[in-house]
Amino acid sequence: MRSLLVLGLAALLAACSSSPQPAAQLALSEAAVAQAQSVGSTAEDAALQQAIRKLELAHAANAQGDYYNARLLAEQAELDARQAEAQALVVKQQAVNARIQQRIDALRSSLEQQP
Amino acid sequence: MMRLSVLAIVGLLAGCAQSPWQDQSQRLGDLLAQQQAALLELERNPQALQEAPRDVVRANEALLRATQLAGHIGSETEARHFAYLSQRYHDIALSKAELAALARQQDQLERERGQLHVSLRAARLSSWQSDALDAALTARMQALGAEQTERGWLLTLDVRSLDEHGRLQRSAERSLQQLAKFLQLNPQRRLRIAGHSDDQGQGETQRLKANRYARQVADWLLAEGLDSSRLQVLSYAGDKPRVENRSAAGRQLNQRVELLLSDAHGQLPAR
Repeated sequence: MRSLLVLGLAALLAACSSSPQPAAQLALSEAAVAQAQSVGSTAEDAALQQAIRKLELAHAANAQGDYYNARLLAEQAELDARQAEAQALVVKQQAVNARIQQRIDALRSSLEQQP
Repeated sequence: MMRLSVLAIVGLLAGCAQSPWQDQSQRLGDLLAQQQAALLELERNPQALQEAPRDVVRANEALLRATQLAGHIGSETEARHFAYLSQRYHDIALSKAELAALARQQDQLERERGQLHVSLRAARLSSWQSDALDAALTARMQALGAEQTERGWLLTLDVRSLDEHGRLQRSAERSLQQLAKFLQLNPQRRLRIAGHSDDQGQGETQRLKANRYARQVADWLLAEGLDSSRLQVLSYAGDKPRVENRSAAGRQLNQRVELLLSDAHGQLPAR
């Protein structure tokens, strides 16, 4: 009975620490952050801030052998970064549209000065 | 003994999934219900379905996973994690839908801008054309020696009609007097005075020369009582010659002042 229990505990412990090292996920999250920054997301963007913070925590957890938390953090960092990227593209497009709208307004006022 | 070991196992399981960084301020049940509602809303958004179908599917899968995990002891961290991923996929899908809508708006704005451009050109053209068809105006302009161009009525003064003190030859003076009178009678009209030099000397010297010619003519018109706001004075160096600068005679022709009359609304063409 006792040996069974010990075996069981050992198995459980093994299961806990058996999460593999999330090297691929960490690389993926790094790439997602870089991609968001390359389309113009800045540290002022809350989603990018979160991505960067979680990625740091993920690396720290990874270094301590806590692969479980490293994986969770890295996965969240990836999606935070993807959201930051999508939002940066929206902001860019808004600026483009605003510029065209300005030109339209200028053309309209020129037209009104015509007969 | 048995009870103790069960406790130990539960403790271990909980310890195994400790994630102090995770936000646990909201009850898991509430979190899942809230996310469920957000996804229902997302699935009613046709743009999100069209622009980001994969993100919508992943948001659903992640929430399903979270709901399953929520039923197991020791899996709360994992459940919250998948709820978070679901929320992010949801946000991404919405942003992609917004981007697509903005891109469509851009197309529409570009079309509108193009149409306005065409309308404005047509409106300006028609005001030039109405000048061209105006018999009284034509007679006056021809009398003072101006010619009809596609940019409007243009009077060209040869630089020989100017002496170095800015005095004008009789014929040029007559033309300018008539032009000044016309402008006084037509207060909406404006005048562009552009000086041109030949290609002799440095660019800066040419420009100064061209500017001096233009200023002399402008000063003459100001002395006739025209308001300076109605005169646009420009100088070109030798970059818009009338003829080749091959001979002395050609260079002489290129040193000139061009006076371009605006349309009836004071609009001058682009430089």
